[in-house]
Formats: sequence, C-alpha cells, structure tokens
Amino acid sequence: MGILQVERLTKKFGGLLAVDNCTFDVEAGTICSIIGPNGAGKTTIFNLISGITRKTSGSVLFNNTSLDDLETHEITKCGIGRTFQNIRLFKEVTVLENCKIGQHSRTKAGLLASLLRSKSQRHEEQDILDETIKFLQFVGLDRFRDELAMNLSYGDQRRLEIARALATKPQLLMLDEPNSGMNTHETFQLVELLRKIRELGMTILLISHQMKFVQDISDYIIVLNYGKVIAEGNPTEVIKREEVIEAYLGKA
Amino acid sequence: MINTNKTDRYPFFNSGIFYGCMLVLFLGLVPVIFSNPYFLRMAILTFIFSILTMSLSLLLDFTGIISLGHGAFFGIGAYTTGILCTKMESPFLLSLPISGVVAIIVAIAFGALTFRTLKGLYFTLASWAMGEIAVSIYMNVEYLGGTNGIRAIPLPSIMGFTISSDISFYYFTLIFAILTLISIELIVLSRIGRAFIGIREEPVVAGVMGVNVYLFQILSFATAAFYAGMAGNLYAYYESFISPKSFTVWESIFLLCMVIVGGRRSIIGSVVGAAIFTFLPELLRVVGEYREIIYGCILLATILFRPTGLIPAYHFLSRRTYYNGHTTS
Amino acid sequence: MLPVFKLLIDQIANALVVGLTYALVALGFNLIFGIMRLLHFAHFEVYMVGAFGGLMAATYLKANIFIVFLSAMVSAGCLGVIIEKVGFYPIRKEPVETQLFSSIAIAIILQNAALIIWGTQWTPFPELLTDKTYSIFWFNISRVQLAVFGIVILILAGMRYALYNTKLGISVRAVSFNRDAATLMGINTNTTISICFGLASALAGAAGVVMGMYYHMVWPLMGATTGLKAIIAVIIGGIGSLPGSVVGGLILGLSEGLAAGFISSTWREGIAFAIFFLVLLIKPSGLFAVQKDDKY
Repeated sequence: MGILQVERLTKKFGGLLAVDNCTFDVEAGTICSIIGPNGAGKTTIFNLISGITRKTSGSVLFNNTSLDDLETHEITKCGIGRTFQNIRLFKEVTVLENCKIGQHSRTKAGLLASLLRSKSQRHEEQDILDETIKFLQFVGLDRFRDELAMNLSYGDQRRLEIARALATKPQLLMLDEPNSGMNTHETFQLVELLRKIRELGMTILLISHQMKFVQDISDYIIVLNYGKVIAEGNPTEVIKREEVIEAYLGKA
Repeated sequence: MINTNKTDRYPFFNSGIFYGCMLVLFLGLVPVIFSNPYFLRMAILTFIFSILTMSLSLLLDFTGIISLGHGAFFGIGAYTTGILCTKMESPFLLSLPISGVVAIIVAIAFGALTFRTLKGLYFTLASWAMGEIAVSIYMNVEYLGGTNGIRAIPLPSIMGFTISSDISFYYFTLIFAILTLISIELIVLSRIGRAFIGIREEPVVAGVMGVNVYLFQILSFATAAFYAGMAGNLYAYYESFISPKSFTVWESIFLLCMVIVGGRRSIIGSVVGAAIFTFLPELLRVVGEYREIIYGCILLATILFRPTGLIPAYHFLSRRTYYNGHTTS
Repeated sequence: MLPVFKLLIDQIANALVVGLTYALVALGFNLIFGIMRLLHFAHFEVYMVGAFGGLMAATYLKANIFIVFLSAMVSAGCLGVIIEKVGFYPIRKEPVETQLFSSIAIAIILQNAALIIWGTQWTPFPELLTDKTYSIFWFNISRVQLAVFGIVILILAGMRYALYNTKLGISVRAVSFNRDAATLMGINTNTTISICFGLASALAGAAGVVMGMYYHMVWPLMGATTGLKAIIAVIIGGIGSLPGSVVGGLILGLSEGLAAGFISSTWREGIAFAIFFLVLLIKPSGLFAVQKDDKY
C-alpha cells in the first residue's frame, strides 16, 4: 500500500473539469513523477493534495489517514511538504529566515514564552538555528544565509524552495517543476540532491516536463492528459506507449 | 564569516543595547533640562501614541494587515478605563490590564468572525465598519456619556503614590513606551514573529509551510489591540476627559500615517512617526487650517519619494539596512 | 389609499435618482478598481470637486445645464488624469497598500483644500431648471428628476457603448483583465490607464452635479458622505462588476429612501455600517461576483 493513495480525485472549476477521476498510488521511499502536457491538471492535483484547493469529489489518503477537511497547515503537519511552480519564497526575508519559517509546525514556542524568553524557548531557537543551517548546507546554500531571498539567482531560489520544504520535515516531498529553467549542469546537481533526499527515506512526488530528467530520476511515472491518468508505470516502458506519445506530440 | 549565532538570536540587543541605554538615559534626563510643561505634554502624548503606532506596526508592517480599526481599540481602552474609574472607583493596577483584556476580547470576536472569509482589502473595509460602529456606540449610549464623553477621570495611583504632575506622567508613560518597544521587538524576533512575516509575504504559502494563518492573524490583531487598549487607559488618565471624537476612523488613518511616514518595517520608525505627528501640529499652529493639508502632503511626499518611510528598516534579520528593495550593509 | 400610493411612487422616484447618483460614482470606482486593483478613496473627493466645478460654471459663467455638466465632467476628468500621473504612476511597482495610502493622502489634500476655500457649510447650487412638476399617469415627477434621469441614463448608455464598442473601451477592459497580456497585444497600457482614470473621474464629476442639482447645494464633505454609500453599492453589486455597481446603487438608494422614515437619526450611521459589515461577511463578492477571489 502506498504512502499516498489518491482515489477518483476530481476537481471542477465551474464548467471546466481540471482533474478527472484520477487514481494512483505513490509507494513510500520512491521518486514518482507526474508528467503531461501543459494544462493537464498536474499542479491542480498538487493543490488538491496540499489543501489549497477544495476538491469536488474523491479521496486522498496519506499514511492511511484521510486528508479530507484538513486545513493546509494541518496537512503539512501530517508530513507533506511542497514547492511551487512559480517560485513563491518569502521575498523580503533572508534565506535563513525562509528556512526557519518552514520549521514552524515542528516547533511550539508560544507568545508568552517568546516574550519571557524562557529557557525552553531559547533552547528551541538554538535548535531551530542549528537545524536550519543543516538544511541549508544540505542544499548548498549555507553561504547565502543572510542574503535576502529575492536577491538570489534563479537556480538558488529553486534550491531554497526545496530547503524550506525540507524544513517542514515531511515524509512526502512534492516538487512542482523543480528543474524548470535549469541548464544541464544544474539539472545534474538537482538529480544528485533528489537522490540524497530519497536516501534519507523520504518519498518524492514531482512534476516535470523534461523527459530526460524524469527518466533519470524516477522510479515510477504517471502520465496525465486533460485531467485524466492516461498511463502509468516504469519509466522506460511508459514513454514508449502510444497514448503518451500522442498526448505530447499529437496524432500522427 | 558572519557570526550568525549571536546576530540571529538578539541582533537588536547585540548592537542596540548600548545605544538603547544611552537613549533611555537621555530621555530620562530630558525633563530635568527642558521642564517647559508644554514640551512635556507633547512628549507624554508622543509616548502614548508611540504605543499605538508600534502595535499598529506589528499589525501592518509585520503581519501585512491594513486595519482602520486601531483607533477603535484605543477608544475601547479609554472608555473601559473611564467607566471603571468614574463609576466603579477602580485602581490603576486593575484598570490597566482590564482595558487591555476588553480590547483583546473585542479583537478576538471581530477577528474570528472576519478573518474566516475576508482577506486583504476586504478586511480593511470591515475594520472600517467596525471603527464606525464603535464611534456610533460611544456617541449614542448614555452610560458611556454620549457625545459628551466621560469627564473627571481621577488620577492614577500605584500603591499610594499618585501620579499628578507632568513630570511624573512623563516618566510614567515613558516606561510603558519602553516596555512596549522591547516586548514588540521580542515578538518580532521570535517564532511568532516569523509566522507573522510569512503571512505578510505569502499568506497561502505560509499555510503550506505549517502556519495556521487564521489563528495567527487573530493573534496579531488581538495583540495589537491589547497595546492599543492599554494606550487608551494611559490616555484617559492623562487627559482625565475623553470624547468620542478622539477615536474615529480618522484617528486610525492618522495612526497609519504615522507608521508610514516614520518608517515601514521599523519599530523605532513608528516612534519617530508618532513624534513627528504629535509635535508637528503645535509647530504648525500658526497656519491653523492648513494643518490637515500639510499632513496629506507629507504623507503623499513620503509615499512618492521615500515609500519605506523615514527610518529605514534595520533589517535585524541580517544586520543590514533594507531600503527600497536593495540591501546595503 | 391612492394618496399613500402616490407618496410611495414619489419616494421610489426620488430614491431611484439618488440611487443612480451612487451608481455613477460606484461605476467610476469600479472602473479604477478593475484596472488597478486599487480602492481609490480619493475618487469621492474628485466627485466633490466635480460638483464644485459645476457650481463655478453655473455661478460665474451662468451656463446652461449641459455646459454645467460638461465643465464638471471635464474638470473632474482632468483632475483624475493628473492624480493618476502624479500619485499613482510613479509608484506603480509598489505593493497595493502603498497605492492605497497614496489615494488616502490625495483624498485628505483635496477635502481640506475644499474646506479651506469654501468652509464647512454648504453652498447653494443655482437653479438650472425651472421647477416644474409634470403629472404622468397617477404620479408627479419634477422637471429636475426627469432631467437627471435622462442625463444619467444617457451617460450610462454612453459608457456601455464606449466600453464594448470602441477601441479604447476594449483596451480598458483588456488591461483590467490582464495587464501584461494587454501590453503584449500592443495596447499602450499607460495611456489606457490614464484615460480610464479620466473617464471614471468624469463620471464622478457628473454625479457631483446631479447631487448638487437635486439637493440644491454642495459642500466640501459631500464626498465623504457619498463615498461610504458608493462603497456599499460597490460591495453589494460586486467589486469589479460594472452592471453590479449600477444595481447596487439603485438598491442602496431604494433602501435608504424607504428606511429613512423608520430609523432614528442618531443611530443611522452605525446601522448603515452594521449592514455594510454584514454584507461584507455574507457575500463579499456581491451580487454579480466577478472577481474570482484567488485563494491561490
């Protein structure tokens, strides 16, 4: 049984059927990619899972618990972290602070404790700092820790997004187009990073367009078109399937 | 290599603690040097208003909530104090916290109702409605004195010592202003403050990063209201007379002006803003009716030429000064 | 039975005229919101300036009704363009709240300037039309009401035509919808925004004259009073929806007219705001929900 079980997930925006009865499982500890042409509904599925968008029908089970009616922050607390397609960092805040905010749900200092600077609060702050530095070192951004997020290069911003998502200490990491805009070298570094994350025991669900990247990294591929799952399976054999080629290139 | 450990935990205290002490010392000696009662009065009002502006800054600059209701909470605190003191002979040590608590209760009620569905400018409009409704209540309810307000509020006394002179009020309000400054800085530099900032920057993403946005918006709103309520308490004691006209939505706008002109993202800036707009009316007394236009012009000029306000944000999170989107060390 | 009925019709006719005024102001407000995502509070002061502009034309130029309207609309329109160029264009890149405060600052300046020049009391608005009452069917309608009705309908129709059938109007709607896409389509966004501002302000100016004509007076604080009502009209009809503002204005005018008799005057403000608050809570997007409130 997978760590994430999506069953008959559907989302209608008025008359538009964005996600149509999608059913798939994601196995724990694997890297699973969702691919498909633009507008296929990939990001919408992410939004549905993370609770940003309300689903029309269907169910999402994470670790066998239903995510129905949970708020976004509660879903994050369950163990799902994500990044965004159009980078949505906290721009006017430093790299370090961006990452620290990610740890919010794993810490608990309240207003009173913060005002009185109790011993436990100060310890917690030190822990947060140490952990954050570790996350930044993990993605290779430690030297930028005091830089404002908006001053980072594009590639570094993408890495910061991942660091911030990692700071939520997820079991499932959802990455929306993590390699878009990257050149070959950067993509190679990203592949290394993702493998390291998998080694830590996390499950990765990612959305991407680039076939080579997807083939290099994925254990499993799900193909979406017009909101429907049209194919899924092993990377090498899925891309050879007729429906998939047709979805990307059109009928011959 | 930047020594992050010290900087991150208490950057304000790290570099500012020395200057802070100097400033406090200076402010403490001021009444000895300038004992002009007029000047003292301006200073006292500045301290009271700075409590309002600093708390508004927490709401506006650090949580991104534009509220036109801050004047209402100022009024709630003042009226609570007025009623407690004139009708129930309450001592200062009780009226102060009660004023704050009443403000918190109203803030939580309003916030819980409003933050559920209203975001951004819609919330601003709702806060405007709240402010107007509050004034309407002050003016129409007999128990609250109606349009005449409440008069003859007795002087505060702490453990037998009555605060009556200008000088004692000066130190009295100064202490509270300093406490407010320190406490709000502490909040901003904590996990709570980080959550607020996340909400300011990207509310949806903050939620995805684990922040209970709804709860924290209410928290920020209620905290700011608490300070405003206490400021109202001090104001009621000092003026010993309060009228509904002091707590209208225009007051709220006035407070916003102070925060904007004084400095966005800077808590000290809010104090400066309060000082400017407290002393300015007196300096401008000669031009009488042109006062309001000058305020408008100052606000407009600030927005057009220096949108971040007078005091650039001491970017405490990185020990750099943040100005107009660029950092300089 | 019949006299009560007549009274009711009179009230309704009255309320409709007032409602149309709110609709005009709300329309301009919505246009600006659509194109800039800005709650332009100073819009109501422009309305007030337009009223005074009309006053000047009527008093000093002894102009007829059409010239008065024209001069009000032109002066308000020009003021609107100036405001846009000075107060908003330079800070276009800033977050919305900064622009909001700019609008507030301009509102403060305009309102107090008017207070200085004309004082707090009202100034009488000259009679532009001889007061004559017509009897149509079973109710009375005054010449003023008829004229106002006609002019406002004309203006609204003209607006609708302009927005949907002229190149400029389509540009305005395009820029409201998606500014970047509009630029890519070759639309000069800056000019379009300026013109939109001018247009919206001109509408407000016309509304100012209507108010002046109808109540026979203008006063510097009239912008603030009407502003609240126009905002309520916009909320009822739905921010961003142009037909919504018209409907909202009419609804508000009607409810105001009918409720005026029943509620004690001291609580009136408070109750108006309480209703405003309720409307915000229950259906913030208004009747014609257009702004897809992006949770994203």
